[in-house]
Amino acid sequence: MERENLGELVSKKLDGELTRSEKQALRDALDSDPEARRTAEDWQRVQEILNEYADSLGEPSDSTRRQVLAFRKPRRSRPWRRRAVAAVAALLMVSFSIGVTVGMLVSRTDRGTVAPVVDTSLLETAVSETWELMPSQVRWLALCKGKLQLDTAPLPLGGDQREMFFVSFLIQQGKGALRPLCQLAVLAGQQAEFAWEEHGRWALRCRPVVTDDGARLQVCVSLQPGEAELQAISLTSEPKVQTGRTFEVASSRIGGKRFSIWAQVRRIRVGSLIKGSAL
Amino acid sequence: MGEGRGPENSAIALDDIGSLFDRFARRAFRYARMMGISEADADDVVADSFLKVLYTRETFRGESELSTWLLRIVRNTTLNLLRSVERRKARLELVAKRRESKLAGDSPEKELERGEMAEGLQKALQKLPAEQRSALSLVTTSGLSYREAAEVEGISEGALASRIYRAREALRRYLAQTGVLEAE
Repeated sequence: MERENLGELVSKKLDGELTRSEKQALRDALDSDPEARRTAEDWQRVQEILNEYADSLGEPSDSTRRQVLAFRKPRRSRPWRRRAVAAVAALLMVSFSIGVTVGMLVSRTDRGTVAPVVDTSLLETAVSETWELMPSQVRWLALCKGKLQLDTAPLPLGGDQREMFFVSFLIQQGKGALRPLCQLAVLAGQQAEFAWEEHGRWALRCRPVVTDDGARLQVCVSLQPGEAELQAISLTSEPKVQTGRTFEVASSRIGGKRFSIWAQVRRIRVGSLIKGSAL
Repeated sequence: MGEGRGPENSAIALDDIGSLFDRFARRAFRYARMMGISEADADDVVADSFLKVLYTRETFRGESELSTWLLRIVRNTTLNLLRSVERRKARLELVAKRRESKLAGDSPEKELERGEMAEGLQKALQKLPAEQRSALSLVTTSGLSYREAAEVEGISEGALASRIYRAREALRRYLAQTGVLEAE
């Protein structure tokens, strides 16, 4: 039997796809040809390595499941008062948690003592509580995704120090005032949960991902104007931004009006020795 | 809602999405990972694919198996992402995280060996043409039959078998050259 034919038969055998006549042909080849047996053993080993590799590939995260299920139900209109309360509560909760964390950092710094690594579970709690407040009726669609380039060098860090980013999102109608939407905190090299916010007739989701070198920030932004069709908003392509300054990340014309999403990034150093943190 | 054909399978209810996710998300995730997508992006592939399922569920008429229909969406989403990544010339993250539970109790030597094999396999997989990688992944990690995988790929079963054979042969050759096969 030719090597290629033999290979295909062994390959099909590994996948349980051999027909009866092919099984017999393979058996005959393996019985009579030591080279064929060696090939089959090699292929068996390749398959074992492949299986081990497949087992190591991980699982989808729980947040992905929650994200998909959140899209499941059609949007129901809610009284504006409930929406406003939910939005304010979410903002307060995130602001409070971040405030507590920053306060903790600052107070530790003032005392000049050795502080423990910042408890990120506090931030995670804040984010997950924001999630809980997310109206599950809202139908979401990832509309755009882009990267923001931070125009500053990574912070000089000590041994076990990390950079932490606070990202605030704001929305603007036309040339009107910027109104806060949501805030997120994420450690360099990690990925924050999605933040969700409903603001009047719009909703926003964002997920900052900060690379290990702390230089890039990836943000997903979705905007849904009330019951209207989902509107695509264009994310400004890789704008260079400076920490502490507000910059536009996306804008869209909806119902004849222009809406812009703005973001502001702040960075701090966290770790066991915290020196002069907030930038 | 079963996987078989027939009129009873032609409608996907909104409430089925959770159980669909539980049945197929892992396969979708591993398919994307096998194609060289990072964990974070593989999560996005899974989410985007299921959102597409949500928005296009009414187009599923039960003419193909549910698994085939769904994995075709996953495949297209993955390939689109790969193309956009290539366009941006972004580096793909190809670090295989071994399952901790699997490693529990293993000796450091075994752990190192497994890590080397995973690394070798990643390199070998990345050298394969995307269509061979996809065919191999659909069958070996997503658990599709040749008929189903051929339907997802839009090719004949014979062509699919040939792609899988060529992929395996290339992997075998690469792993033999790099000594991974002999290491066992």
